[in-house]
Amino acid sequence: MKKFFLLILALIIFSAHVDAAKIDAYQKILESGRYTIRYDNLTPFPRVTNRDVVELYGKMGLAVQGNEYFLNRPLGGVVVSDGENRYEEVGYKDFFQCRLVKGGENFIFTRYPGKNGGVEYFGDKKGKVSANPRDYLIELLNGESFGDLHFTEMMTAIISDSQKNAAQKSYKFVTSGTLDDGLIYEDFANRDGNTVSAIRYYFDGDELKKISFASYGQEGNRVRARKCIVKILSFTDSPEQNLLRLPAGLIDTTKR
Amino acid sequence: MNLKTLFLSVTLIFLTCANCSAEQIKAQEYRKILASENFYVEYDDNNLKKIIAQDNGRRMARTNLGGTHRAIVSILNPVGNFLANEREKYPEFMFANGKFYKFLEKDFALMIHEDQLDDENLNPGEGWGTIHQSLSLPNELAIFNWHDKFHEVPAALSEPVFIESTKKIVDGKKYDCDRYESKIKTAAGGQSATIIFDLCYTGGELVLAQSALLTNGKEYEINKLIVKKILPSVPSGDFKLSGKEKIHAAGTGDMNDLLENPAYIGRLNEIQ
Repeated sequence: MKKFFLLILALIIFSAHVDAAKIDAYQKILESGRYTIRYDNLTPFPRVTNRDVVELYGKMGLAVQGNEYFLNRPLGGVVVSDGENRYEEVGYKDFFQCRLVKGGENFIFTRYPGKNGGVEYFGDKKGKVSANPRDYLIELLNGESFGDLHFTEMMTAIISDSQKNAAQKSYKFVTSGTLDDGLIYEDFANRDGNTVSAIRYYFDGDELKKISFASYGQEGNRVRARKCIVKILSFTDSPEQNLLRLPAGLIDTTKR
Repeated sequence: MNLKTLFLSVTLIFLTCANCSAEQIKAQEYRKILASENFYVEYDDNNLKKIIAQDNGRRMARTNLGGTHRAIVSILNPVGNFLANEREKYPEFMFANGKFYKFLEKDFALMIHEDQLDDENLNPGEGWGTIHQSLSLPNELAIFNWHDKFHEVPAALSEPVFIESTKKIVDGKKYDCDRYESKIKTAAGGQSATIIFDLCYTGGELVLAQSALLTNGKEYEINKLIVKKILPSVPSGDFKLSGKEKIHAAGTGDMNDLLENPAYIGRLNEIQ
């Protein structure tokens, strides 16, 4: 009986380990530093203040929900890295905030619809951008950014502890299984003080298709909860080189 | 060589090495000043003149044009220079009696209580999230008081430790430099990088503070500060407050906030 129990226990541990391996392929890609990820963050960010849904007209009137820019839309994102250079963009519909890190320089600009169905860019001025020095220290202390805050947490959770700094959360494998629709999931969790966070990665076969995140806990005197669902459009180990240089239509005006 | 000569030679070598690697004498004095209730620190950071002061429990800070930028402004705009001088005497940020103040004009400030800082309704445009940073000494000078109330240190960064003192030439000038090192730790307990701080002295006074990041065999400059003054008290007439400054509530998403008309609380001397 004792042997049988130990056998079952060993099988459970072994199967859990095997199931958790699906995320390992993505861990390898992330830690290699060479990838292209496209995603849609389906969960709108919680409003921080009333300001994001209110437009003021002078000092006299206001129109609630006049600012459709922040209404419930998926937040699209792209992250490309070749190990040294990096490109990130996040945005709604066709208005995107972009950041290109190339060598020791950092370019920040926006992309939006232009005339005749084209696109236009705005850095310092329309069609022009100048670089800021790359802040290696902040990159090391905060870890790499993957566009929006929630997706960054989801990606950072995959990276092994030896590859991230002590301030970043360490997620441990909890369980895995198969859903009714055939998707396979792997669950990871972190407990940081009074806050519990959980991330579930969904796979169709070996392909990462979706990620959900939830956290709940006390911060100071407040109880806070966050949730987020992200749809993975593509996650490959080949960096899209055309995104790792300034786009045509955007002139570099950096004084070097 | 007899035994006595050998002993003296060895002692001399030890003494010489000890002299090479000891921290500058003034470092201990800076530690004492910056941990006290009164100090005044002035430095240039990329042509910005920054001043951080502690005056009987009140922490204050401001940034003005400095270096060549200031000289150009002085030549081109004498009136602006006069006004800039006036502004120089007032704090831009202040912490006193559990309250943070942000002076938008010399007699107009926004205020929040210390425990309001994590209020999710605070107007992000007012920048309260960086108020600690605005009042803190930079890392290069916080070496003398790493655990200062306003100095927020990322969990991954270890407290700098003294390594050695050497003679260095920076931008063609000779300095006696104290080197400190801080480690950036990984979540697994390893080390991903080192931050090097060089505090450089001439005539026994700290004049240059610079830092660099060492990672993957490469070194990247982080910061270079020209240290102007580290004094044990605020010079008279500086950071003067009349007490009549009008204090208003920080925006918390209420109607006053939306209409950009901050609620008036009272005069500074009435609420401190």
